Amino acid sequence: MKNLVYIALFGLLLSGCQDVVYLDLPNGKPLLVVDGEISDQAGKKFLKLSYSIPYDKQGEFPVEANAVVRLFEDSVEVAFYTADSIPGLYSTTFTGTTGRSYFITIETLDGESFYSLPEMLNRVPEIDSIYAPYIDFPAPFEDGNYALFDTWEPAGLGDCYRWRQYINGQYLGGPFYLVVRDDRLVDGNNLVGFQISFDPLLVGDSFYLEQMSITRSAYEYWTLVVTQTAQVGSNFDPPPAPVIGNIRNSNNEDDLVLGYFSAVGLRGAGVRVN
Amino acid sequence: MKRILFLLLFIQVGFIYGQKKATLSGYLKDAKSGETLIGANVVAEGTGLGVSTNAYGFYSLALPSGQYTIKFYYLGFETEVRNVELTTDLTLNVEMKESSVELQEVVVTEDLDKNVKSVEMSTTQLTILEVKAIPQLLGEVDVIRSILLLPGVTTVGEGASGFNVRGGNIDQNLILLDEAPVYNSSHLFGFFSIFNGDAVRDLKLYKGGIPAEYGGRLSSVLDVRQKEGNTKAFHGAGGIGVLSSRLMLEGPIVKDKCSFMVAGRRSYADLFLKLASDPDLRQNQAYFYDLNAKVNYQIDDKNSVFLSSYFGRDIFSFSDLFRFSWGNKTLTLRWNHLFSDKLFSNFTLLVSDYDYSLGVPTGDQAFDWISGITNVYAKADFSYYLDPKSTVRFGGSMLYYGFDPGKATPGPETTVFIEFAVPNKYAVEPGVFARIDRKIGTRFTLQAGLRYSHFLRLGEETIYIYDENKPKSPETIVDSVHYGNGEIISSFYGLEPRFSANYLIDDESSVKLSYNRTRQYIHLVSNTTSATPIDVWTPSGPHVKPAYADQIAGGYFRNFRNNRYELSGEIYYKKMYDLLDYKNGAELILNPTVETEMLSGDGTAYGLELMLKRNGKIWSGWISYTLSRSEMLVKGQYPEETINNGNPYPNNWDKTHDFSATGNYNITKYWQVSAIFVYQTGRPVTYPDGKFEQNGIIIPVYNNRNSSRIPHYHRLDFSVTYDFKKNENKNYKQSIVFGAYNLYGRRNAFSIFFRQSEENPLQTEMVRLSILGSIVPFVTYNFQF
Repeated sequence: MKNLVYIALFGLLLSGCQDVVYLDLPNGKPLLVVDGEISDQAGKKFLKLSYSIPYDKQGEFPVEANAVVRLFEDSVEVAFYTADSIPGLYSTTFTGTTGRSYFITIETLDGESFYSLPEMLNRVPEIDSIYAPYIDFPAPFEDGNYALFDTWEPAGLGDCYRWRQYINGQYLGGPFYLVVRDDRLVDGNNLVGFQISFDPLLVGDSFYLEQMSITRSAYEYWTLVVTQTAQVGSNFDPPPAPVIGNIRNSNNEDDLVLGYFSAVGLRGAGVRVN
Repeated sequence: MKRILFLLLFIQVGFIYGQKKATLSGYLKDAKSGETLIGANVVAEGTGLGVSTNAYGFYSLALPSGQYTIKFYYLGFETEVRNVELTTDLTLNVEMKESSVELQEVVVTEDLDKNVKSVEMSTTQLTILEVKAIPQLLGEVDVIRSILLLPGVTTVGEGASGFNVRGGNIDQNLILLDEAPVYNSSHLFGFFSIFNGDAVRDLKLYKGGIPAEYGGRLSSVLDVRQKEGNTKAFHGAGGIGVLSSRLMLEGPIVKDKCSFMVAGRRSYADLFLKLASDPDLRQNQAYFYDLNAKVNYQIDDKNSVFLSSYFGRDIFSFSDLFRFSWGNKTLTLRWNHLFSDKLFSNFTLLVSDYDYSLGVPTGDQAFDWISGITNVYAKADFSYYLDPKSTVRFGGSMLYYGFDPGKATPGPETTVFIEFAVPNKYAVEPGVFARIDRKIGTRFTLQAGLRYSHFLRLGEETIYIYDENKPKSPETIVDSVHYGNGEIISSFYGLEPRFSANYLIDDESSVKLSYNRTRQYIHLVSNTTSATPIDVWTPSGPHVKPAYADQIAGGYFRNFRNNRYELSGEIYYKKMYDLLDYKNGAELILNPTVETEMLSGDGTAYGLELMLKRNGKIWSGWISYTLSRSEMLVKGQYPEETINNGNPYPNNWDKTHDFSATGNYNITKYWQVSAIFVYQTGRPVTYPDGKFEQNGIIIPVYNNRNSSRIPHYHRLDFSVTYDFKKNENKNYKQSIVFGAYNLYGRRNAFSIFFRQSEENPLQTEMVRLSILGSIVPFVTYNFQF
């Protein structure tokens, strides 16, 4: 329900003044972060291993460049991730299949080992069309070209989705571009004219959209990420909470490991603004 | 429990029978308006015997036959004296005159020794005049903002809806408007409350020692009563302010018998949008309004009825893109009947409703989403004035709830959305209570009460059954059971003992002690810093336990200088069981399995409250200080059912030190100044231990909930009232109030939050959010006729 965004907007109307401040924050120990996914598309799939840093420290995140990463399909080892030229980045060309489940194991040089909880690779519908018309919005929203797309939602409750956006080949990171939805309000319907971009596009821009099926567990993870990074700064913030994904330390289940390893069905489509 | 029953029994048999007695009874009223006076004192001079008028202005005093001088006292009114020869039962209705506002301080009357002599503790009564004397945000007379100045009452922050009493959450307050429970007391997301100052007569807040007639919430009762309407003459009052304008009219329909009161208020921020050059902006709406109406009919000496109603709403709309509105409706029908001079009764039938609706009105993504709670409530209360030293109250009530957790309906042209509804839930809550107030000797006063409440969750509804060996989630549903219409799904019940005692050390000081157990069967499902209008109430049931609390409080009360100063010091300790909290990242809206997002925990709150109040016509005000702690512990069976690693954490509204001073000074007949100063410890917040990057998003790592605090909060508000000189001897009176909220413009923090920098997304920053971070001036013009 994109219109929930407008509710957030009401929140913003009420939010008073914001000032950047400097505080002495606690220094937590570095924790391993896993950022990767396996999809049903051909080509290289990347996985990144890094470490957390104190919040008030600016700069690069340290990487884990010397790990051994293996991929399992339905509990059978199917691939070995090779280290990329960029330290901390690993890749495999293995392609996933809908209906199968995937997990990884990670061993680091200092003898620690980790694994991800199995993820099912779920069905994903095609993006039927994508277009970027000029839309005349009532104030206070800006007029301009916005990306809209049509797709369909397979019948049967329980499907969850995530979308990733690229402008001129540049991935749009940051909490406000993280869009995750489930099919509760749209189950089995044709979804026509879904607005995905919230900033107007420029003429000449090319916009690319990735539509991914994700598991319920990944949906809950990314929803939590949204609440912790995008829904902040108003009277209506949800309580800060630890964002814990599906990665575990094999030797100590209670040890905190960060990030998520996902299995996704993936479809993409692009449009150029004329 | 047994002990309390024993005590009740003991009190019962302690009654003295013998001497022939006659009963003096009647109503006390304001001579000018005909409004009944609540809590006025009636004393038979020289006997040490007396009684207070009840919530309906009625008193009854049984005395041995004889000659008496009866004195009637009420704060701000001239004392009335009547000599009576009491041989048979006698009705004596008395009208009292407001004392004139002269420049010399009036003699402070004996009425004010209630602080010391009444068995009530942890209780504050404020008249609307006292509330109006406080400088207010944008000049809006605000009942809830005013009670925040009392000890033991806190809020998460500026603009947050509701209030927190002695460490309890906002849903633990029973907010009554003419006896009707109000489910959302806020306008404008929490900035203002729904009570129009011109329609309200007085309010009373119980923080502890809650009498047995009140039930259903753990922490407090806020009893707000609307004006009854002038039975003598037609009058009106109103005002024009920065935020809103209001008008109240009242008068007799039949003189001295039947009166009416109607009041309205509307905010008009959006009217300024009409001046905007952009036609789109002109179509936007953002306002709230209230309508209050009441008809009061005194049928005869033994019967009176009133019909009271409130209707209010907040409305926002952005052109034809989006609209959002919410509001309360209440309707109360009340009948007071005197069965005899000693047996007073009250019968109330009421309806209360809160609902919201939001949606996109047109287009292929049109939808309409509604949700709400409906209440029908019937109750009967009886007061039996046994003898001058004892009053027995008893009664019963029946409450019906209909919960509509949410229904989203697609618009006619939409092809995108399907209809989606979380099924309605139903419940009834019967209750009975009995309570006795008894003086023992000259120094002891006891109030012992017992309430029995029952809660039945009823069909029609389908209840999911979850795998007992796994944390609840939509995936662990193993079965479901369908209950037919009216079929009992769950049943909860329990006793709620209430007890208060007062021991008079001397005429000017006393010690008091109270204990109460309270039970709460419905919960506000909210997981944001400040509750939003779309948060829904949910009943206890198979997966949500009812909450209960035990509170014990003790205090020392002392009046000085002929009751000019009232001092109180109280300590309290409160344990709250089976409170709701939520899983990390919980989705609470339009969720048919919302129970899977809920956790259960226990709360603990304790504190010290000090208050010094000065009564007087020239100088009045109070200083309050609270030292307190409120924390929560959520430790479930599984890691996802545990918060803060199973360690206790302070609640968002926990403010260690909370100091406020309120003062009001009449410089001359025409000029009056008022000021408030508030100082509080900053509320708890969670600071991250670290951060990590995933998919281009920098995510904070939070470990210890609410282990840090935002900076201290302090603020000075100021107002000046000028009463026009020509007011004297004229029916049309005018005044102008101007002032400022946050006079020295401190940027008080509401929260500190953490985000990726907008300029450089690879960097993170810490941001202080201030809601009212600068001076907010106002001017209001008031009139009455």
